Amino acid sequence: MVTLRSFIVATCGVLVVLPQLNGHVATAQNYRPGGRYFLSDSAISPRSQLAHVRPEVHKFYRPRHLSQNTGVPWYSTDTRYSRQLFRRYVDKDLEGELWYDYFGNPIERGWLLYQWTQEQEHPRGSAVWKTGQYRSLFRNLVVASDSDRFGDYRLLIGDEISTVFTPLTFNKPRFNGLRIDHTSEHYATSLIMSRPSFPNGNDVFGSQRPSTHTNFTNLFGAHVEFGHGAGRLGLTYVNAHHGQTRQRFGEGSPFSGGLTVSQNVPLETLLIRIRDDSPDDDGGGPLLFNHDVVLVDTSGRELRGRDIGFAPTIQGGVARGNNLTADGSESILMTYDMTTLNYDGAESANLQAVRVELSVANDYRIEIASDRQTDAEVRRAQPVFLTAHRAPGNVRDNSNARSVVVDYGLPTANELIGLNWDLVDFRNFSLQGEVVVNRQHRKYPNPDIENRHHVVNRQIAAYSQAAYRRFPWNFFIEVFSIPDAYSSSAWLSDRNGLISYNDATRSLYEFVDDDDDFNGIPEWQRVTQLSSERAWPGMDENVDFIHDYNQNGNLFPDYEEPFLKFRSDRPEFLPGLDMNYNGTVDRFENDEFPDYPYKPDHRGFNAYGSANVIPNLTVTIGHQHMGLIAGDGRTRSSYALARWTRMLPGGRLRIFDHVARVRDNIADPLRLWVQPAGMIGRMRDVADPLPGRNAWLQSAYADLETEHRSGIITQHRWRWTTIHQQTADTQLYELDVRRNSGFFGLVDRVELNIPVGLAVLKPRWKSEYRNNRPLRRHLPATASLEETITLIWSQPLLEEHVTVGYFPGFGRQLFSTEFQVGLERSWFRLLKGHYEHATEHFRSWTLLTQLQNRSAYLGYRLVSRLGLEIGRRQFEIRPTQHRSLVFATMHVGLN
Amino acid sequence: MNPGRITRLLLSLICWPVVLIHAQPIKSITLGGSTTAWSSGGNGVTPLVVKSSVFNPALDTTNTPGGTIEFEFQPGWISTRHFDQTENIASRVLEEGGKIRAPNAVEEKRLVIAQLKGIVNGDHRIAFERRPTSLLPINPFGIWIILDFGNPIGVSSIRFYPRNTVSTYPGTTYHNDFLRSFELWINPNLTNRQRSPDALARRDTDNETPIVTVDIEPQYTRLIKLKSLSQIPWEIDEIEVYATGYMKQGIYLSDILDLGDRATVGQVRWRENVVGRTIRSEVSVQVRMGNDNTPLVFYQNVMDSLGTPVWGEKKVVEGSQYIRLNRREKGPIEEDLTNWSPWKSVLNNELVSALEPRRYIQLRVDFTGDLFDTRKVNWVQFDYLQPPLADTLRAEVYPSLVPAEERATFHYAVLSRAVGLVRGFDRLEIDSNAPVENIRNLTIDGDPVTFEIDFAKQEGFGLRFPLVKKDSSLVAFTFDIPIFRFGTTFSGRAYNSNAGTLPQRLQAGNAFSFGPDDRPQLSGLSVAIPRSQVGKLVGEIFVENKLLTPNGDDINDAFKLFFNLLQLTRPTPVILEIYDLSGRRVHRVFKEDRNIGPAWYSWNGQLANGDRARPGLYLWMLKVQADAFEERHYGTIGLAY
Repeated sequence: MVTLRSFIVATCGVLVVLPQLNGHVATAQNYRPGGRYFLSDSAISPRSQLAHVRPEVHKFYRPRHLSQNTGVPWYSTDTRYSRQLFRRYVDKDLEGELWYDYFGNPIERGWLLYQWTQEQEHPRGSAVWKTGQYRSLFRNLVVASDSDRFGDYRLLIGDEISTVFTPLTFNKPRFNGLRIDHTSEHYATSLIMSRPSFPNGNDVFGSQRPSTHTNFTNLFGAHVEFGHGAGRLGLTYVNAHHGQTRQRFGEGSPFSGGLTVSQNVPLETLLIRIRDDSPDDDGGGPLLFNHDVVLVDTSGRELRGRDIGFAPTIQGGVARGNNLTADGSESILMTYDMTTLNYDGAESANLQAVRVELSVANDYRIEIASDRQTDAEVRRAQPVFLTAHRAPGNVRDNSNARSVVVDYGLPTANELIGLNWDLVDFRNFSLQGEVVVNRQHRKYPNPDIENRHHVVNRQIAAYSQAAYRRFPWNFFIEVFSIPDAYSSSAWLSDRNGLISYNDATRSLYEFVDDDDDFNGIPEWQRVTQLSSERAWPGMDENVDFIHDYNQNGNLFPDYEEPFLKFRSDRPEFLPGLDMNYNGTVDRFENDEFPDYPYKPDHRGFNAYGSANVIPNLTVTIGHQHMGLIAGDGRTRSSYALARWTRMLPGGRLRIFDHVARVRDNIADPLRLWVQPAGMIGRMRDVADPLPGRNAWLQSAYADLETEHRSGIITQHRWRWTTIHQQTADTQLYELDVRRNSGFFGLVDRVELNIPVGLAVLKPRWKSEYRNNRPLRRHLPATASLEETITLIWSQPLLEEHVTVGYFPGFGRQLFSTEFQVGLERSWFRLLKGHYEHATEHFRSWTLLTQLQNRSAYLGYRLVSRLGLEIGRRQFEIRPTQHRSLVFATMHVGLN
Repeated sequence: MNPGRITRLLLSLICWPVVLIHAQPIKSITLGGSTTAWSSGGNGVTPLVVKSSVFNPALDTTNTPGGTIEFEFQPGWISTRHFDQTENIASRVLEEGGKIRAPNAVEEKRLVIAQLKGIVNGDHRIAFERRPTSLLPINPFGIWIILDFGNPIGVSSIRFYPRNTVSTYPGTTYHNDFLRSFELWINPNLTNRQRSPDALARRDTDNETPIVTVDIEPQYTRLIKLKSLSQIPWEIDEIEVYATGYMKQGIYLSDILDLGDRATVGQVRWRENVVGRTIRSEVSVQVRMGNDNTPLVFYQNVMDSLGTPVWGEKKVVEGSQYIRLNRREKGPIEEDLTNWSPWKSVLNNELVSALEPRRYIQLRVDFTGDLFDTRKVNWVQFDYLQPPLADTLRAEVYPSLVPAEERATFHYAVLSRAVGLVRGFDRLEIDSNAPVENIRNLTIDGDPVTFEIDFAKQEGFGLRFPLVKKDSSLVAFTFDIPIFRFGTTFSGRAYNSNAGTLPQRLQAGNAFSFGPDDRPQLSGLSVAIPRSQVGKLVGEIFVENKLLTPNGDDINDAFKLFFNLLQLTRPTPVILEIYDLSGRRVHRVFKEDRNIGPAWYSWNGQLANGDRARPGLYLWMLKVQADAFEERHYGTIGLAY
């Protein structure tokens, strides 16, 4: 091949081939060994040259694609495959098309993978195109890179790029867009860009086409960190804004965004709703003294509603004197019919701003809506209220009386500007934190003016943690303030410029996702991103993406299953701290908030000091002081905890105890995974029972593991939690709460392996005692004892394999085939009350036989099992349950 | 006969009806109790309720939209609907707001609907059949049956079975066609994966019993979803749903009551009982009044020549006409906010806010509660007076902006409008939050009249004067009072001494022009304070005797502090403490809950243990611990002997 091409170039190249190369002259510089020519630029287009003009009949006039690619002259008809190897008609290296940049320079022959363009003053001017090659060849991820002696550069385009700036600004396990990183010795920068409203191209019957839209939501952000050694300082900027391509380029600001086509029309209705911010308390609802509306027309003239007789219709509210109040579920709804506005030329169509002034006091929540701020239904769209103001705390004595101005505008952009710091172990001192300014932009709709009235709502969130460690002392403090109105979400416009303000799934883009179990799949559903509501934080300690309590993935939790229950203890026995006092250990919590380091609307601090009193004994004393900023609730707790680990001859003892005096009325509801017996596991909403409204809480845990020389392994696990309420009896009755509640549980486990020839006999015993006295008064107190005895006989069969590591007497594990018989006998006694799925005593036995073989097959390792399981459960009242299972399974793996 | 007597007789005969009318006592209307059965709605015009339907709004006449009110559990009382665990409530899905459907049963729609109705209406002849035939390859697997009750109900048990099991159905073998494998899901709301996922109540892939009973922990349930996991043909004769406890919400609408003519409505009262825990339930009463007996406006779509509705064009028609319109002509139905007031909530034994005298009235009782916690209402009662005291009583106070704490002079005016026969008023009660002083210059239509002060207290004052009943009569007077609160409102009520204690509330608005700076549009009953004073809880503090010499010579023997508490509406902790210069508290002079208004305290240098403080320089700190914030003020005092 090479010889042929070299020959053609050498002999005919100048006369025949080169004139066909778009008029380019072949030189040593543009000839590449291997027969491929690369093109040099031509200043003139089209590139036909006079050298092509010949008085010949055959078609030759135009530069030909094929010949220039293959180096074969036009008249070549040589397809003698007897002498030559078959050759592709077009060299595989030359598939695709030639692409040019906007200067007219050829870029590459190949395929377009990704293109994002935005053309202004043009309908459907925003286009994103991810072609089939992007999806098929590159699996949705392309990385370009370069480097020099100062640093490294990467450009990534991907659908699922894990991107973390800081916890409060940007944290997405699957960012869909473009990312540019540059890192040097002293700084690291990241730049991200995306069109989150439509981040992908259109898939039309499997063919990828550009996704073109007039209305769009764009995102851009940057993060830069400076520093060296132990300290780093970072700056972050993230912005998502609406826009439309019908507008002139530069109209408005990309930072503050613009209104979509559907939104930028005159208002017909403006609604203000005032309601109780803490509806569950007794009284203290908002008090409305006075109200008025200020209308600003396009000439800048300010008109007051009272001056021109433009008043709202007021519904709801209870009269208190001449004021209105709205306690509990009551609300005051003010409706301004903007279509009736007609005063001295001022109409809704020529307003540039509308402000509503409200004189309010107490625990108010002011919400605002309009006929442009709806659920985006095509017919009879319903207005959706968004919160404009919330009274801090739960004021009931009028001490926060003030005038609140609600300046109306539709959300156009959300902006985060952050500063973070990180100092690690500098002279025993560590400091970490972040402060972020959140600017939420809104604009008043009016299609006739360019500079629309622009309102910015600013929120500041911050947190910092400091630690000082010097043996034996350890001090830690964390302070935090995350306002309720702090938002790391951006509204997404649909193709028509409509935004459904009540549909988070369809209309919200999250800068910070909710991924409590850190599996890279957010728990909340959002458009154009992968999600799964299934989450079990802390319950996958072996990181196999399977719940630790259902490792065999059936309908039963392992602690209820024969044989598996021996090693599986119920979740009640797991130790841990519950610092938000909602009855669930913090590391198992799954909430529905973005993964900020602290929950929204929380402000406070937590500080502790600890000391290693003696080796392996740590005592900690601390205090937590936390409250809701806008909501009604606070947590005050003083706590002490002790941890002690003692290594014993042949064993280990661990003791942990946590005691706290708590006053907590902040509800922390959760959504947790439950695996009921006999049913499909599922997420369940778990309300916060507020066990620590005014209580002493104690949580103790101890375990002891020993292994005797005789081979007997024992394990004991003890868990004791108590809650002692300090509230008066009448209030406890109202709250449906017991004065004393808690859990006491004890698990004892003994196992032994007895070699019998080549076989092994494994006797086991497990005892589980549970005594639960629920917090809720209406739930029964329960106590139960379950004793389980298991005998397992493992008999190796067939040939023993010998490996390098073989030692006589230890070769029993090297048999490929094994026969196992197991018998389990269990007695369950319900000592008090009943459980949801166990309402009476029972006895059960299970027999399991299994023939197991492990062998290699085609580079894989096969594990085949044949067996039988039969069992019976005898109840005291209900009829006996029988169970039988014959199985034949085969698994294959690489290990 | 003496002509004078004849004249007086004639006059008295002519005036007799008027006298009779004016002598009418306060009337009351009671709903519920032993007077008027709740179920009767008050024996007025049964209210029309609009059922929500986007394209075809439907009307219904009912006092209990959604059937959420219980009349029978305790006779004479109403509450949210109660279920006693023995009644099969499955048929509620056929009532308003409910529905039953099998979304993936793709056979003929009418047949499926008829069969689905048949499995909840108690008709044992009709079953929902998933039995394929050679002609109709019905799929038995994966079929969902979804019962939607519209409102959450406390479901405790669900039972389903094929025919010929619970009730005999001779000649068939349907009893073997039971569902052998299924999942039963429940949901308190409409299914939404993120917000309200379905909860699995039972999964049984090996069911061997024709009659399946699933007992669940009583919980609010709106959706019951049964999913077939069986390939074996099956049918369901009935799905029975048993519920317990109370519904979560309930609405009772009274009839539209005709008072005969315009009337002043007084206090609204009701008697309620709590079932279960107080904090879990709530009841609220709302009132609205109107000029006609239909609080709805009916619109007819305007049609073009082709018979299609012209977008955006509609005309008002009568309700009776609207019902006869065809589907395309029917436009929206909206609340009539021209002839009817919006719904106004009212507190027990309180006046309704600013309702003008009108002829028709309607009451609404809203219940919210929990499964075993609710409220019961025995009766709702309101008083009314006919003719009204006036058609409109508009009042304003002037000026509407004064500095806080300083005694200010206010002018108050009440303009009475009467478009028909009215009773007039001769008493006013005005609310305030400080004792009023120097009430003077009371005029009626500009003429000074004598008047009496009924009472003058911290909470307000009352005036008595000659009867005012003419149209456009103006009562004006002047008084002095200091303002302590942003948004102080001098709300008031008018009375007629001959008509008992039923008042008519004064409406804030423009009643009189007190001067060029009295802008009619800004007139009202609220008084503001300068912006610089807004947000302060303590006004100016006056300290007497910064140098304390407590030696008993009556000169500088005590440190005295005077201040005004502003803004507060309820007693709030106020603390005065003395500190030494090292910041150590040496004495707490007082700590007590105080209300708005002036306060003064003194300290004579004595400590809590009876000792005298050492001579020296001290700091005093005044703290007001309000809900919103704690306001602190400091100063120094010297102590010498």
